[in-house]
Amino acid sequence: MESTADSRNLEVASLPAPGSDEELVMQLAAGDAAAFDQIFDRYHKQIYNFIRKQVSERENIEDLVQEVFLRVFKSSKNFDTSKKFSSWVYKIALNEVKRHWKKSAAKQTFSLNTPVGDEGSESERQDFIEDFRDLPENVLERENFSETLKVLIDRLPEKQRTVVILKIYHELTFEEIAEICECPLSTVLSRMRYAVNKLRRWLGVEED
Amino acid sequence: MDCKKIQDVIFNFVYGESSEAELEATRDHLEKCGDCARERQVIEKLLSKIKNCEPQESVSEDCRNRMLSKIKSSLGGEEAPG
Ligand SMILES: [Zn+2]
Repeated sequence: MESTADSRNLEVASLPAPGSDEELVMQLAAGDAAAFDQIFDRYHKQIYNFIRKQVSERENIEDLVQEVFLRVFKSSKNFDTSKKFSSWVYKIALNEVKRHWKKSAAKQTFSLNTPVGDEGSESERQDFIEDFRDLPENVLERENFSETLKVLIDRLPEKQRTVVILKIYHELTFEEIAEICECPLSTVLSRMRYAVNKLRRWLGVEED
Repeated sequence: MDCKKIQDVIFNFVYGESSEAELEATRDHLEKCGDCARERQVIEKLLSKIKNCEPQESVSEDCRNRMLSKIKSSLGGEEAPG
């Protein structure tokens, strides 16, 4: 008897809360197209900003945002409602961004110069040398801190940059970021550490 | 917890995501070790500087409507997936 009650509780607990993102996706998956507008209104600004920080060409942002939400619409049936919708939509956005990177890397040879190592497999010293290769001139002397920072964040290896953006600007937890990037939590933490250390060296930040 | 191990857990700590055991050990170490305590301050200051220097951009009503209507026209007459 007890076990029946338990499993019933479990079932209730796994239903998305009324008004939650997860419930909206369930409604969308069940054929309620109006739920889509609500999802779009809850998330398009975040996704727009996430993509804006990851791609350099402004004209691509809107197209990519559209792709993300088209995918949300079309794959809402595959969404696992026991998971967080926010992680799912960011994962879709990250995949779109990666697809875009691949396309533009094929077009633009300069991206080949972007350092790819990011897991800290190389020695700190090697990492340090790599860091300064191709660093835009005078970046450290620029007056405008936000401009400088933007350039430096763009300089981070892609995977580190994604973690920095999701953590600092989107305030997701490291667990959520691990889910979005489909990698272990420890990898996310080490990407964060490497990225912050690099930014710090580039900026010459020390305690005052 | 030693100075080297702190590096692995400092971001969890700074963002309040440490596990219970980790939290106590980190706090203990930071109380005793001046170097790591300063390190933590530098990191926190840098993170907040980064955060404050680029606020989220707002998306204009025009842009929102344009994106939504393009999505809908791409879907054509497609019904909601149900
Ligand atoms: Zn220490």
